[in-house]
Amino acid sequence: MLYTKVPCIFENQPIQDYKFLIQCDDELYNRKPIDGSAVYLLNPSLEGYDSLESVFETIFTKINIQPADFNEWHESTSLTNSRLLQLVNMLGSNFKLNPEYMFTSGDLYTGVSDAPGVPDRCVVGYNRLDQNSIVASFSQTSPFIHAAFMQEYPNQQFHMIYNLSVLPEACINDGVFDLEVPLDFVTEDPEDLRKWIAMLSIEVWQNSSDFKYNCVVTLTSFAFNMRAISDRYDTKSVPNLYDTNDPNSTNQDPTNPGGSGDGDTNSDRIPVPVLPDDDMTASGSVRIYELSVGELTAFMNYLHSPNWTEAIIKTWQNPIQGVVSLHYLPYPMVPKGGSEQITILGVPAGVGANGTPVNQWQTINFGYCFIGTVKNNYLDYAPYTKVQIYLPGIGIRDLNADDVINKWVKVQYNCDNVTGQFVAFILVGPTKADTDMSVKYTFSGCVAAPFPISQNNWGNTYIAAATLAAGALAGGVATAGNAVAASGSGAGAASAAGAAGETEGALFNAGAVAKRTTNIGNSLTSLAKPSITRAGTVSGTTSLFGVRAPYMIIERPNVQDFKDFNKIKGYACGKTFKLSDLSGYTEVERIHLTGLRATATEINEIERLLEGGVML
Amino acid sequence: MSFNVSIGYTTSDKNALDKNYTELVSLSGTLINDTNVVNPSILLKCSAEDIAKANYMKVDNFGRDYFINDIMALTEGTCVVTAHVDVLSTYKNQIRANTGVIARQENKWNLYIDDDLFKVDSRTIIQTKQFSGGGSFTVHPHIALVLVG
Repeated sequence: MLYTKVPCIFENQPIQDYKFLIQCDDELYNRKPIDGSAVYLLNPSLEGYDSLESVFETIFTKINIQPADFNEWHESTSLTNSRLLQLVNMLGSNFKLNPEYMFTSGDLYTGVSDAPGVPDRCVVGYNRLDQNSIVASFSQTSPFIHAAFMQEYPNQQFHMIYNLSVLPEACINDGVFDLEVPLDFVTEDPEDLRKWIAMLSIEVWQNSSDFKYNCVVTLTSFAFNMRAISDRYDTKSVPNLYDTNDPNSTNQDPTNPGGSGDGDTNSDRIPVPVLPDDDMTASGSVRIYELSVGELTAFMNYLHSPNWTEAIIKTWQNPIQGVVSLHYLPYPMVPKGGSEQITILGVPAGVGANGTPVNQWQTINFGYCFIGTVKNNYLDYAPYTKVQIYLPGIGIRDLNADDVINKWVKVQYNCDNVTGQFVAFILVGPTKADTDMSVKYTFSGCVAAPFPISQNNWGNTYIAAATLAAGALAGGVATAGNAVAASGSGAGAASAAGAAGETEGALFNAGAVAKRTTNIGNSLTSLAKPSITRAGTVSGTTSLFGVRAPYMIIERPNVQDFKDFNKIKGYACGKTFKLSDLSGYTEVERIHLTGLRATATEINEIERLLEGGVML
Repeated sequence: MSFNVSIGYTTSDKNALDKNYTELVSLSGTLINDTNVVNPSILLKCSAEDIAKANYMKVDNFGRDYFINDIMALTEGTCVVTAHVDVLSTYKNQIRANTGVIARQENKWNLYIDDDLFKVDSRTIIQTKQFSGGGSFTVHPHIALVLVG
């Protein structure tokens, strides 16, 4: 997701960057025509568009303007002072959320008019940034928009236009805004409304003591004020634009010395990839069967028939060369047809040598597991809570507690029945809904247990098993090293682990122990407990003996509850408060006392007491 | 120069801004030389027994409240009270008007901030949780045969 600041442009004013996000409902984005029929935009620059009423209904609700008031070109409606204030407050309160981007009133009203008597021509608005947010932007209206109003209301004293716009992300990101909606544009695809841009202008002005407002919807490509933004939003002419998405950017945002990011904490969902839409069996040259034990016996009898006549024929025919693989899999394969007689190199394998053709790829869903919190505090998360997952055919893997705590975890395998290899996807989400689940971890493994069909084949199987055992042994040695390292302390742990050949990991462990000790003193000594590997590699033949379903292992600190601890010592706060807003036990971390006619000695004592804890 | 001294006692927490106060007696006192308003020694015309139960006093002329540190009898009918200013009570209104970064609080907290005061039992809680709503590998192995040709 690329977030880029939207520049604020005022005529005769330097370009400034302004940015903040407000949340809005999906309806703004997922807008569709009300009647569900084709969308006709005829001469859109001159008329409003009914279907977009739903688009802005949310906005109307927020600013307390009824939809019924909407969508009449240049039709004014009286706006009471209170409603105007609600409108201004709604927009203004959002500015207060990010005061560093807040407009000063002076800037807001410094637009210079080409038309005499037009006091204010500045526009404040929002541009859509993604599905859940729109970004504030500011623009400037051209004088002739106001000309009609000026003739009708020559005594107007206040004039402001709010533009609430829906823009394609690309427009905001790269500033390119060359979209031209053709007249008589016709589409049946509601998605087109995402491409073609719409804008709601809410124009507010004051005539003597009456406030008026006017709502207009146009296509933004015909809205010159938004075009003005794009015209001016040219990266070549604005070299100091700060790209928050470019870690190599050396451009410093002149208005933002730091401490305020773009507020982007959203994530894009990563779904499990669908299985390949074609496999080896598609050509017919490769066939995969699932066999029962009886069918296997019949097939083996065919291969190793004691009949010497058949043996002579097979010496010439050599059907065993047609066998690519014969192996156990610990799951039922998905059939693609009924049982049929096996043919090998074009020759039927004999009576009873049947098999059920199966697909090469398939998915196994192992279900869901919710990892809750226990204390609803920081100890529920890493590094204090440790989470591991056992995956059949793989073994145990570490998970970051921050990824999975208070979330649903789903395990799904995408398997290849020819080789027994698979990819295990661990999805995490706030709910079990597929639309909320996102892939967080991916591991691979193999669960095929080779079935020997000749001496040569068995030899390969034995070598593979021996290799696997050696690997497991090496893993065990490394595990021992880790355990020694984790149970030691400081440099000793590091050196012990280094001797075990796990230098990098052990240094990390030692560092982690030191860090925890620094952070939390001696209170949470359990954090220094060793991390023990609970399982080695469980794959291939060994997967047949391993636990057959995934499970989670959660290690949680056993926190002791103190009654009324908050009244005695308080809990960590970490926020700024006016002390009169607080009551009870309070420790102040930093304060600069003002307004006291006390001696320096007394002020120092007050600061010391506040830092030590007082009862407010 | 003499001034009025309200002698009494408080049972409030020493670190409380608002202290309950019960006056025992109101007396006229004088500041002894070489002392100051922060740590005053005040000569009072009373017997030590009259104010023996006092631990707190207020001096309006100084605009301050004090913790009584000691009461010494000089002669019969005169005693000296040494005290230390209670800055929290004296300046409580001004203190409350200030804004600060709060480290710990009784009622407003964020338990997701690291807190080294939490005590953890070494007997770690270890949980295992199964998955539900899905399949698993089967006890019965399934035989896969892959052929070419």
